[in-house]
Amino acid sequence: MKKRNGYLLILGLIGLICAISVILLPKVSEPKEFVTVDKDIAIKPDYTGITIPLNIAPLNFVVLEPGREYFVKIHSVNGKPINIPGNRNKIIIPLRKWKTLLEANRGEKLFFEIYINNGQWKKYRLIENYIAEENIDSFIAYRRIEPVCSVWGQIGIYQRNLENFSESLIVHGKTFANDCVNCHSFAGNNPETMLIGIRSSKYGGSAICVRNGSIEKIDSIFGYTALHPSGRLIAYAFIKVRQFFHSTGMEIRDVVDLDSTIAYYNLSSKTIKTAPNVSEKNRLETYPAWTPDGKYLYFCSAPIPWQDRNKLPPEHYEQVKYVLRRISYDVETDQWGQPETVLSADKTGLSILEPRVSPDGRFLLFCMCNYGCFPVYQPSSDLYLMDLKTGDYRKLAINSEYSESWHSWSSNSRWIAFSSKRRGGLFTRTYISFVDEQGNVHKPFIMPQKDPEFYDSFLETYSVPELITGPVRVDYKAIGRVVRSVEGIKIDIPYTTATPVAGSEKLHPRHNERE
Amino acid sequence: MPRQIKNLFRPRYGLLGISVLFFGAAYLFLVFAIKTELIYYFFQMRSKSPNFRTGTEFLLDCISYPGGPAQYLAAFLTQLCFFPLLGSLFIILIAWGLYRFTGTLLNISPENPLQVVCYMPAFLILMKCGRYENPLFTGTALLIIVLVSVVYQKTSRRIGWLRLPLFVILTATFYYIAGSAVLTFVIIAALFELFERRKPAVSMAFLLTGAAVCWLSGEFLFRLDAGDSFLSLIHYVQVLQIVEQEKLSRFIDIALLAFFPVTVLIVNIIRRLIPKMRDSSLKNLSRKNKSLVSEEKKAEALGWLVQAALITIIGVPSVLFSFDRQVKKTLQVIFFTSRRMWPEALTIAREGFLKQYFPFCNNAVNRALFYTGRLGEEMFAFPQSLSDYDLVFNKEPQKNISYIERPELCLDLGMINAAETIAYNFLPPSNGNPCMLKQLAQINLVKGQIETAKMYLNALSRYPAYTKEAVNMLHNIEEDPLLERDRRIQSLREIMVEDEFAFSGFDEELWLKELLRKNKNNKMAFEYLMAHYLLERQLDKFVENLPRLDDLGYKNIPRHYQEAILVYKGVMQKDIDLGGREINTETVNQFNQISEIVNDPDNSNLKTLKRKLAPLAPKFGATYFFYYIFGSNEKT
Repeated sequence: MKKRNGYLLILGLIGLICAISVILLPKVSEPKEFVTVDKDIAIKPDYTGITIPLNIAPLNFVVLEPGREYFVKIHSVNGKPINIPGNRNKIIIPLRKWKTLLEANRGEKLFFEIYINNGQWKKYRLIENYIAEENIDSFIAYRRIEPVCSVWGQIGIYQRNLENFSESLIVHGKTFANDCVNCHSFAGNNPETMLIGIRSSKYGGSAICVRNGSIEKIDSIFGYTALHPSGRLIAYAFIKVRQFFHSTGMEIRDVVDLDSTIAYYNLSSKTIKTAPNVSEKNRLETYPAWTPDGKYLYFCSAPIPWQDRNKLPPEHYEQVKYVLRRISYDVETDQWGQPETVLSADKTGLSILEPRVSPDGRFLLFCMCNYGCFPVYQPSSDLYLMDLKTGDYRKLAINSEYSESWHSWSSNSRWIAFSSKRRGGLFTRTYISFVDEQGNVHKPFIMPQKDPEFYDSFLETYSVPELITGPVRVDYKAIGRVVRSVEGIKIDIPYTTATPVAGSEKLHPRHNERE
Repeated sequence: MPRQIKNLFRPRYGLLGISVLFFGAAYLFLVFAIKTELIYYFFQMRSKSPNFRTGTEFLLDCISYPGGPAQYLAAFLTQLCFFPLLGSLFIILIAWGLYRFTGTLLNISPENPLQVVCYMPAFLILMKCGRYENPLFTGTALLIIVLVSVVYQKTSRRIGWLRLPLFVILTATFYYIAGSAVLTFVIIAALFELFERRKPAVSMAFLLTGAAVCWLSGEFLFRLDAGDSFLSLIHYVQVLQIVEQEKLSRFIDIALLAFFPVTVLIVNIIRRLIPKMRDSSLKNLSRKNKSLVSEEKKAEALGWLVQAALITIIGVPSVLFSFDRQVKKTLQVIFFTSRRMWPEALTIAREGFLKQYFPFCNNAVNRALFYTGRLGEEMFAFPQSLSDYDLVFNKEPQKNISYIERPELCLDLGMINAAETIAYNFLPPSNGNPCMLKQLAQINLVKGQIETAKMYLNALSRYPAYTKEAVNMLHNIEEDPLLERDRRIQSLREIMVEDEFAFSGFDEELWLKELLRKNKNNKMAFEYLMAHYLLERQLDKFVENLPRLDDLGYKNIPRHYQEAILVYKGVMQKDIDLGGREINTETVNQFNQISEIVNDPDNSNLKTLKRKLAPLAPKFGATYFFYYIFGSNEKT
């Protein structure tokens, strides 16, 4: 009898809890009575008036208007709307419903309808976004690093599934004495072929080449790299990079290449070569970028204005302005043509950096800043787009007063991902923009996170966002093991610039660090 | 004597009394002598320390690797150390828990003299506190493991062969919870098989199985390398390996880790060798023969006396011996400085514990001297050294530990970008050190980079000890976005360097001169520049800057400046315009006395000079004269 009473008591309690929950839980139905407010409502991140890919993760956001209750209705032309009621201003969109809604509305408008109750429901002006016809590459690889000056801390290259919120490691310094992983690049947008630079105080400098699941360690430090679309060679800038600081101004850090040259590594013969036209002794060459057909190499080049290649900061560092050049190359015969200037710094008055050709070969996206070689530390750095058919270029409207840099194209040439410091000037965040066939670049939006307030307190920067068509499948531990291995591919370096050869320079944990 | 009082003095009460007395005294020792807020402060200033923060980020990070849950708990308890009464209570509770379960684990009755070994972990924890090392990480993990060992020991006696799957489940579970500390449990379980069940083969199987479970879990569940699976998972072991720990602290950690397996082994060997020492034998005897009760009481009394004696003779002196008063005073100086409690910092510093130049502390002392108006008067009363002084910038930047308050010093001076550079150099390996986050927020507020400052403040608000402060600052920003009503921010904006120059290393002189160029009334920059010249013995530059005394309204010349002026005059044979100010007669007399010895041709040898000046040291050691001659005034 006692036992039965006990059960009844438990059941009663459960019922009571359910009843209270039902009463307390906000109502799912749309407010029937409300006042229409003819005012734009601010949401964070700014997901208003943007074009989004069909396969993007939910754009969770925070409503920046106080209220006791919130009701958000997300809808389009087709399919069931998503209703999100709640007492909090944090709007978390269910992933499955979001996917269903977007898939049913390719090329259509997407509306966010926001109601706020402060004793009376108010309906604000509709937020209108647009769902693009074209998907974005499903993954993005980036480096996460704290805004350091000269300490190797927790540096890792991560990959993020843009279709949801999952993030995983590609490689991390923790697997080799907490040392540095720097630039990563892919052959096109193919995750199967990847190159990563390693600088380790314990295991030396090396380049890690991942091809179809196999990992090779090349005993040389490659700087900025560009994998040839054929997958047969890697063009890279060999740089003597140094960091210095500014006594005033928003950005304290600056970087200079005291010397640099472009060389290329043949993955089959495991040899390094250079060509006179891309490695002039009196010039700095950097940022190689192949055209999708592999017939041209774009790169940046500047005369060296200083005599002393060791002094830091060097004389007239603020006068260094890179021009944009290209040179033809025949991968079959290994023949280089003559370099031609595509865009001159004399014409622009700015330093031209980080050229990236769209996979369809139509556009060239690049940065320009006041001086130097490292746009991410230059608040003046902006993105420009050149139509390669006409040679016309223009500054993009998506720029901010802060630095824009490190951009990459999606494999279908319709999306770009880039780094921007527009939220405060210090932390780079990844932004995504739609680029239509005419080269119009639409309003960018920040890479969505599950917690819409994530970026408000996240103290790492996202640098070098590279869009890739799928995940990198190699285990980060396996890469770590290869980095730690003694055996790497030994190579002879044919150039004798002031740039140190691999192993000649002692790397230590307080080496220069850059975003 | 009343019966109750008689009972009170029975040996069993005495045994209880010992533990109450011991842990009570230990609590008071922590509160009043150690001061747990200093442990917390020292912990949070270490670059690798996992500082507790609310929200999911820290939690998810902690639960993503073996040992993380214990670490999360320990990190939570650590922040309570900021409140001495509470922090001390939790440390004592952990120490008591270890004491209590050691007794259960070893199956020692309270009257057995061997019971005294149960106090050993508590002593080690107190010794660790005396070194100002955080005992909570080791303590928490060990307490969990000892507890599970006790539970296993009790349960496994009743479940026969099922103890093997139980052992595997417990090993895997607590490997995740407490990391490689679970190896302690594995060894204890194996010893249990060996001594209680007398099955050496099964014992060995337990050892191998336990190791395999750890390795397989590490390798396949947590994707760790084999070495990491056993060694560096649990954070306290990481701390043990990475953070700069002095030898005794390291020994204490190792002793804590090894204590349980070793003690279980030794106690069991003793039991086998001397069967009479089994607790049960005595109990059985007492039950069988009532006439032996008085003997039992005698034995209990003896046990009580032995325990009390051992604790008094060995334990207490060990704790007192390991108590590092020098570290305590150093930490107190820095602790008070960090809270801008300048007189309190100087009171401790003047106790004379600093014999050598110690950047970690002297930097704070100099700051306290400046803010109390004593830098030019008293700087050389504290050890200074030409070879490794770091007035503003650290000559050895890799010593992060001396960095923590440095951005604030740069900020106070007006070197905003220098402060930012140094702060960023500290931040990466710090897992978000709250002190540094606060300083970075302030730096960005001064620079008017409000969005960035808000990010730091948002991050700072997740550290419970700083939440209120961060929220208040965020609130102030909401009300006054440019912080024009914030007097500190405004005054820093007035003195900050505005002329651009690029630099790759830190040039103290250059920065201080720039500050004075921007604002000639920057008194701190002036006094630090003069201190720099004094330390560098660049008296020509020092004299060049004396006219600034007028700009800053000095009525009298600070004592060390007077001494330097006399030295300059003596060496250069030049007169200096002091703007109507005078040199103190006593200082002139001191200078004359020292000059006499220095100018004596017999004393041209530095060793002879040092010997000759030695008798004057007690009287003139705190003057600039000594420093100028020897380039150091450290006490040898």
